[in-house]
Amino acid sequence: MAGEKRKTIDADVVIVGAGSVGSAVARMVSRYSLSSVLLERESDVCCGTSKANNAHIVCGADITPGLIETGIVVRSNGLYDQVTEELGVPYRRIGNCYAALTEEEVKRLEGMRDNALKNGVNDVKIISRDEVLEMEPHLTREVKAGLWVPRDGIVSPYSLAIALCENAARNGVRVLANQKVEEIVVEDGAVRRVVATDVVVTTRMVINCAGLFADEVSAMVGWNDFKLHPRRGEFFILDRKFRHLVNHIMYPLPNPVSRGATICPTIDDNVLIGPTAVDVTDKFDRGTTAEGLSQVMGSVSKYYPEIKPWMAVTQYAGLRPAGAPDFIIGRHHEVAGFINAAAIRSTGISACLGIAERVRDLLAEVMKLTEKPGYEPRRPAVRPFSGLSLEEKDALTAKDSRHRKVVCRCETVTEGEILDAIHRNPAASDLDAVKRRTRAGMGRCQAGFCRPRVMEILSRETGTPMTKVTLRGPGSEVLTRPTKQAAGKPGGKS
Amino acid sequence: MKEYSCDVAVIGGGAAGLAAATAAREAGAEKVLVIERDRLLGGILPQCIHSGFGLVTFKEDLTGPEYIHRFTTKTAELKVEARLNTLVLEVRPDRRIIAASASEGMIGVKAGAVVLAMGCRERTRGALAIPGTRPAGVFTAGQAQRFVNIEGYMPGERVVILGSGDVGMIMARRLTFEGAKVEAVVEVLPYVGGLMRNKVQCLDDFGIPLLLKHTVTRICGNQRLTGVMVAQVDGERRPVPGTERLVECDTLLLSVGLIPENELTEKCGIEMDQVTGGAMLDERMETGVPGIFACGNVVHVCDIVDNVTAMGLEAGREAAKFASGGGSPERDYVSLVAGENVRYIVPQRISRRSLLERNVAVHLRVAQPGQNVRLSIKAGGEPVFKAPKKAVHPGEALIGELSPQSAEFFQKVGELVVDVEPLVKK
Repeated sequence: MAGEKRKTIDADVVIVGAGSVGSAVARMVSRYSLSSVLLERESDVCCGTSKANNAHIVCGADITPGLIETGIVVRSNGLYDQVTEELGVPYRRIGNCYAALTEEEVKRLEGMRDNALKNGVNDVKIISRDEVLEMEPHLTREVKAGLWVPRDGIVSPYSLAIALCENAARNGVRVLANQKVEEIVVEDGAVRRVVATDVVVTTRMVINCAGLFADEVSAMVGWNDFKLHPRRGEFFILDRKFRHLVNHIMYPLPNPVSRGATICPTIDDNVLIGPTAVDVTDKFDRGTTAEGLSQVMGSVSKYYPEIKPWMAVTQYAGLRPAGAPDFIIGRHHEVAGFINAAAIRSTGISACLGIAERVRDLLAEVMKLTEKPGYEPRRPAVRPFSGLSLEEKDALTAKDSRHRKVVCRCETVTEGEILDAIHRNPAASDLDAVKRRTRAGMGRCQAGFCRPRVMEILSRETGTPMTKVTLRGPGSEVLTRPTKQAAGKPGGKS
Repeated sequence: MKEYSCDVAVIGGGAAGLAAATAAREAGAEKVLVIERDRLLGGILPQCIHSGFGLVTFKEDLTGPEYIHRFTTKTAELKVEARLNTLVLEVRPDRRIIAASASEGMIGVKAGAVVLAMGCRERTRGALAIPGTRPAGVFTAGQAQRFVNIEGYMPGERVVILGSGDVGMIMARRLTFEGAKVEAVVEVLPYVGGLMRNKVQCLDDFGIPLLLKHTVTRICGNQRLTGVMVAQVDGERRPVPGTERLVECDTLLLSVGLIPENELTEKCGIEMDQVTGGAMLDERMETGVPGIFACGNVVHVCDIVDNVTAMGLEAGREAAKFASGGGSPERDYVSLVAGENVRYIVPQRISRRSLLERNVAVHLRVAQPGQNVRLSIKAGGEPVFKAPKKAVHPGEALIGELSPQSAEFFQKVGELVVDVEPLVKK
């Protein structure tokens, strides 16, 4: 039984939560001669807020000046080129344009530009109707002008977090999945240990990067003056066939609650539209709603009349933490050895690299940080088979027979790519984890054909019976039992 | 990269592809190659272990595996070469094929003629935008069928099936045989989507409730499916407020339509029919690109396998003729136009020469069910074909056959209009 026989391990630093922030912090910690453990409650890294969002890396043009968030987002943006290059993560600064449809909105553009200038984002500019339409030929002809933010970009948020974790693991961080933190034990005014699902980690430093649950983790050490609630955002992903409809990140002008629903290409050349912004209470309900989906579609089709619901390959909802006016990043005033990186709102993936720097500075106040000899900042890029030229495919399949067998045909994912995902560290141990690393099952048939094959590979490689292979961790088993005939065979399946 | 050549290359080793391959060999093509991505031939048929196949082609009631066995036996006898575990990545207009082979890596094939027979895939939850969570336990009906009949595993124990397509209804019965409880088959339309015989034999005979004019409005459960919300719909297929109720289940099967799998076709630049989702064809099953033919569910989703086979035989024969140096005949076409209560017609155009020389079969689907109607094909207002039909249904194909007409008549005609009209005009 989980928890009854917890294994005790020891670490200088425990990071709680392997979303973008926890992953970036883990990689930062791995630079130094500290032992560290990254605890994730879900079955894989990047399963919460960091997974389901608009995948934008923003430069901070539209955030309220003067917030802690603002400084970090602006600083963080400048780190992206180097870090994504080191980690071999695709990242493109495709730029962002706010489209003004009315004269009233045109007037607001100057204020938005001034806001960006206050934040130190100096390369924004107001552009004419013709310029907007030249950039975006499928945008409504009713557009009057736009605000152009060239430094905003797109990334795959889970590719980024996975790469950060893989690099952290390469540099010595132990990444443990399916480990929900139950208790943080404080004795004599200092953190002593962290009790999780199957492990107890004796430690003197806990860094709380628990995303939506950061308030609950913080309350475990008595820091309970903030409360987070989920804000739901719903999205559509459209078939790659429709990639030509949009070239940049396109936004309506923001309203007081939300930045509004964007339409943009994804780094994998789908089209993303969304989100909504609805405050909810259940931190686990990541369901979409009829109202939310129709709101997103309605709002975007006003800007791009050609966009239709049937173009979608899938929809999803993400929950982002809301309820605090700014990031909460700092050391506990009373308990030694506890740092919050909490209330990281919708700008989390944009801010994570900057947050990691801030956390490093906080750590340096209480710990001696010495650079670890042999620290390797680079992670070899994972090059998808589908992106190779014919010559490269030929050369790869000639020398590595594992890549000859295409398992997912919509996305042209080979068995070799799936095997790599299963055997890297942290390992993909379920179908969604394989999907996030390889795109197997992410295409237009949504795993209709490749699921049995991917399950078979997972079963074989991890020694798990087919009926125990999961979609995303315990409780999400895909199959219930062998059929009568299969069970009746001698040595029948289990 | 290994390079191969052949007279006729068939992409897809299902019912359509194997029919095309046998017909091509019998029509004289020396070297016929079938390229199949799966590890066995037959396409979807090996998993269709129910009967009802071959009533037209063989005048026998066969199971899917039995039906396709007749073709695999024949292709083996005829020495058709089959490459399994080989995924075609590209078909070029000059009839060069690029594929990834599990045994050889990347290969190139130069073909005298190409037959596209890639079949179709199932429409997914995403295409319908069903709201809710994304738990384990949501399957397309065909995927569930594969798990049960080929892999030997049960997808779940308490099942709701959305959509009354044939695969969905057949799976309702199959899962019942295996000890699962099918709570309901839910259909948004006022009539069943698949064949009437499947409604009777798979649902009625087993007391499985069929909820017409209902839909699934929400999927519930975080890890595994815990239930679905089911609601009545109005005439515009919108859920009626207040009719929503939770049906507890651990499995949802989607049988909500099939989509011809034409990514290769589109990438090749072949002209498409937006209604069928397949290539525009002439009566020889040739696409707009000379020497590239298409047949079966990649052209339009067929109701019964016999129609798939018939298309395959035609495409195979014509591909063999093309490859032997016949080329394409003069492209002087009469187009077929969907008239009253006709959703689409295949082929979309017929050469004038064929209309003069031989019988040409025309397949169509109606838009709405109807009774006591007449299928008619008219040229310049004059009927050239008519046949009364007691009942027509969108789930079942109608076939009309044009017989040769006088040259004089067809010289004047630019298009043929196909109608399914009431026998007695109101």
